Amino acid sequence: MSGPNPPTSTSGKLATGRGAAWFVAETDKTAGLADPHLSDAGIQDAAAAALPVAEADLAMTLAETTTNPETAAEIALLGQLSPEQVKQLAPVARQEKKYVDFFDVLPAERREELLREGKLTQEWLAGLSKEGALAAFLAKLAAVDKDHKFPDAKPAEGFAQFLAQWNETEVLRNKIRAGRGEIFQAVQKALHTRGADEPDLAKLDTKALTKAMAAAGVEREITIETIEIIRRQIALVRASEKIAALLDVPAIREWLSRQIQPAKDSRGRKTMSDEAWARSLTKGRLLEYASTMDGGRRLRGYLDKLTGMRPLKLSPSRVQAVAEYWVREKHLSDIEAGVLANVAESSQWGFSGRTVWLLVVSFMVCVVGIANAMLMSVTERFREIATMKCLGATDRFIMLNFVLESCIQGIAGGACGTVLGLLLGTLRGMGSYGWIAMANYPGGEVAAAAGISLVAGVVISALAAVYPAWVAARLAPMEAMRIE
Amino acid sequence: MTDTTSTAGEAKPTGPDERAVIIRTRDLKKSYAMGEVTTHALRGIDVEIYRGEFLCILGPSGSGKSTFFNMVGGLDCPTSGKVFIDEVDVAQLNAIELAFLRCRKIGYIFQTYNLVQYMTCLENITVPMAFAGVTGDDARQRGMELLQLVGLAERWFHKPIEMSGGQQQRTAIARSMANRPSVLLCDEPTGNLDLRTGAEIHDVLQKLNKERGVTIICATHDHRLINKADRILWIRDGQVERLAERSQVVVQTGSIGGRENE
Ligand SMILES: Nc1ncnc2c1ncn2[C@@H]1O[C@H](COP(=O)(O)OP(=O)(O)O)[C@@H](O)[C@H]1O
Ligand SMILES: [Mg+2]
Repeated sequence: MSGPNPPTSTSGKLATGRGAAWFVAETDKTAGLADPHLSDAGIQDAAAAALPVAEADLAMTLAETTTNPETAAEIALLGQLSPEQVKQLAPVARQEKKYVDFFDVLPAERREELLREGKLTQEWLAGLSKEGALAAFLAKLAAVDKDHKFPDAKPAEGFAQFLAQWNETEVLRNKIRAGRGEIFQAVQKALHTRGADEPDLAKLDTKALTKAMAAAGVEREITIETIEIIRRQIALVRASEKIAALLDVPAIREWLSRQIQPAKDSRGRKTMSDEAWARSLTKGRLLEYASTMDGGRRLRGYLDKLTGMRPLKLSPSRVQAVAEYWVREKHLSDIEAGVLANVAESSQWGFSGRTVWLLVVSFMVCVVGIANAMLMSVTERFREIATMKCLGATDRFIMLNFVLESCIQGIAGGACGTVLGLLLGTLRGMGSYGWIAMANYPGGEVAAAAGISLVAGVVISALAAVYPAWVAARLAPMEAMRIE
Repeated sequence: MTDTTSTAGEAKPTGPDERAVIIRTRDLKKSYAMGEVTTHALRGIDVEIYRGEFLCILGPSGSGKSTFFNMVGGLDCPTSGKVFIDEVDVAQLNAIELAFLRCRKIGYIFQTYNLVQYMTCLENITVPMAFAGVTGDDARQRGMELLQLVGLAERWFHKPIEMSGGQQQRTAIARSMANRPSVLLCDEPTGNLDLRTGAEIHDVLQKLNKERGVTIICATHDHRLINKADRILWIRDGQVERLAERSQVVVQTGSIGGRENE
């Protein structure tokens, strides 16, 4: 795939500044929900995230087949099943859905008691068919609150019956899963062998697909009708892939962590603070959560909501959120690279329009302020200046005197301002990036900025003092004689 | 530029015609236009001031004494007429030359002393020396000599605010002498002082005139100063009312001078 690889710590310091560029590109991409070009690692994550989502989806879809003939045809095609087989799957799927719902509404603590690791997974269900496992589960179930009624009136029989049916039909479901996976892979291949950077599903024709299927070793008859079904399935998987890509974005994970409430005890009290929960919700945990049937279903719901809302726009705060996440995840070298790149970009003295405006206004305010102060100083010292002229001071001397005085004030003021700016800037950097800002302190740039500030302070002071100094120099020496 | 200190103490020529003229004014006029009204501060003054003399200028307030000083000291330009200092037309001088004239040739003493408040007594005195290119130890040494002359040597480190009016004015006199000028222009130097302190200032001025041969032109309302002057110039409404040798004046106003002299 042509997508950029995220910078990894093994690649060392990315002095080229790709780190920051990557943040921006990646955030931008997911923000706009463009077709994500995933890296190889991204594909794996996508598959991991997409399959459970598809799994939860599968139960739902199968339950639908009795009412929706189109869905039934789709399932039949994917698993190469007969209509009878599809009919056989539907009631089991409805049962499964019931159990998923039951476990879903249980408090986390109860779920832990009933399910292994608190998750209703495919493996767990399969594990129940082992000797004694069902009995143990039912014993646990008996201890469950009376408020939460198990879907079956007689839990033991009902669940055992479901389990038997479920195990019986597992072969069929596996065929559907495998078929879907095969088709997806073949289609992906077909699309990419056509050389397009951005595979276009609409351009996928029967011939190309048949050829790709054959190349992948899948024997299937492709017709005009079935290709539509395949397209729909592919689009579904792609949506899952997009969702998996979205999970790469910490801001989205943060949003998700707020949606998926932290674990609660039986009395509904949080066992974790929101903060701790948000922090603990790493990508690995999310994927784990998604790999459960109920978790996957819920996550899917949130992500659908998320993608439907399209609330993500690239903003400095979001880029910062990404950076902060990386700091937390200890990808320090990458962050360092990012900071360096940021500094490298911003140190090219590229001022934004707002900055230029601020600079011009503050320069003007400075000039007017200094000129005013110097004029005051001149009028206050009329007699002194006139006396100096009587004592033989030349106009040049008087003028130079005032300009120099202003310059010295400019140096003093400039030094104060530079120290203050240095402190504020450093604190702000620390606030944004933590100690990494100190580790990557852009000494050269800061020194240059300090130097420029000082020189600017002196030059502005000198310029502003020219008029007052000229007024002083023009003063008639006879003013010294005047008596108030 | 003639250094007058070398001739100090020597007998002065007595006859006016034999004396060297240091300042000469010719039909000096000055008027201030203030909107509709024009004030004629000087209405044509012709005087010759001799080198080494002590000239006292008397006249009521607003008669034009200060204006006359400004013209003579090269501080302001006359509306018409001319001022010659050492036979040089002041109007012909450029800004640098004028600064040179004020620095070396003329010393100014103001009614309000005009010392620089944030400088010590000695520093105030060395300011004009710096303008003349004398700095460092030379300047300090010369400054101390001048302070000795006015009797303030022990107070060299005081700021003006720590000194009495008389002491400040004596400091100002020392400062005016910093570059050994030939002329001292004093505009009511004792105007802000009590009678006794004023007399001290008069003594210092007389000492400078007698011992150093400095030409002193002094505007005053204090009639006691007449006794120390060589000549007296009366100005009224911007015109010379009378110009006389002291000897003549003392005869005429003997009673007044005698009484005030007590
Ligand atoms: N800068 C000036 N602008 C306008 N009028 C002035 C100015 N200086 C002096 N005068 C006027 O000129 C006249 C002479 O003033 P001045 O020379 O100060 O008198 P004196 O020093 O004898 O008291 C006064 O009427 C005064 O109002
Ligand atoms: Mg006056």
